[in-house]
Amino acid sequence: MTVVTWIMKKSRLSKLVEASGGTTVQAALRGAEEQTRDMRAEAMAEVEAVLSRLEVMTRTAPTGDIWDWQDEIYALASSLMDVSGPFGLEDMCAGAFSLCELTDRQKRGGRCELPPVQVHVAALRLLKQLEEPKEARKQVLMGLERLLAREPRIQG
Amino acid sequence: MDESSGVELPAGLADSSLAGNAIFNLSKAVVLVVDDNAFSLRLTTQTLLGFGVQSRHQTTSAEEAIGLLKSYPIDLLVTDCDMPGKDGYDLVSWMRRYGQENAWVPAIMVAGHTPQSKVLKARDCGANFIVARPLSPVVLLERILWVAKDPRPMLQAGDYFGPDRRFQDVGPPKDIGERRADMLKAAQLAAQMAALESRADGDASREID
Repeated sequence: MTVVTWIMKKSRLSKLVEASGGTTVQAALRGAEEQTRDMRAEAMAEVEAVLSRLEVMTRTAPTGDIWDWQDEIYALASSLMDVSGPFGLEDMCAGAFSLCELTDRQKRGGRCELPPVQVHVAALRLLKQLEEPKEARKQVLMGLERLLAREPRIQG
Repeated sequence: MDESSGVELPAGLADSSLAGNAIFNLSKAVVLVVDDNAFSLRLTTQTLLGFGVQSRHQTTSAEEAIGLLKSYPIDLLVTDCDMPGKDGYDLVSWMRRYGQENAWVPAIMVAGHTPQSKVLKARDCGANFIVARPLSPVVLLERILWVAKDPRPMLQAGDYFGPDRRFQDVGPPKDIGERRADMLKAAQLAAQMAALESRADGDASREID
């Protein structure tokens, strides 16, 4: 039999946030925007660096351990989401999410296929170059969505 | 745009559950941020600075974070899920078991991609929330205020130590009766049976007479 012990303890954080003084939500969010504004240029450079690395990695079929290769693709796509999302590159972030989902589904299915990964990386490059019109970027993302739909989703 | 003042609202605020004029105080909170990506780490800590958090510890590895947890009391942990070596799940799990005064600290986990398996893993390691990237300021602040006001008690059951994993108390399943009601019904039935038996005994003894 499992013994369940309940501990009714209020965290220190819950008391601190209620303390007198402080700031409004609106002021805090403006403060955060100010503190991170200077990081935008750095984020764009990081996006370019990650994209270039993805292009190099997907130029030819992996030669070493394919699962390590797949893990690295997943990690790079994930880091692309980290750097692009907060700076208004929502489409790039959505494309990177699609690549994460693709590699995750392939891994769960015990597969590692290069062509759909290559298509994703090419689409990410296109999303970076297509500043406008928005409709064109939407078309690229819809293409990725169709490609992803072909990958069976394995639960667990 | 805030219609009452005509001022442009910060990004994402209109779509969040946060009230722009709500007041909170994080100036005395000590936050530990862990992320193996140095850029994301700096982005999160800078965002926290904007929220008024004065005291922050930051590190790129879970191993170093454990060292910090052993040395300093903190009020909030924000950690990346996937890191080489010990990951964010291992870190939260360690903190809940061996973190002593830090064992109760709210933990927010962050992941770029959150399939169901990761959500369950975060829940089972004792985290309060898992948040999908991109971690915008509005999402981070919303989650911090949620965990600060999280009414769920902490519990220890078997291998698990962390916040109650149920977000809602939905009561017993609909088609199964309440146990207390079942016991009352059984007691009533037993009393009726006993009354019938004693009446039958009385009838039998009258017939003998």
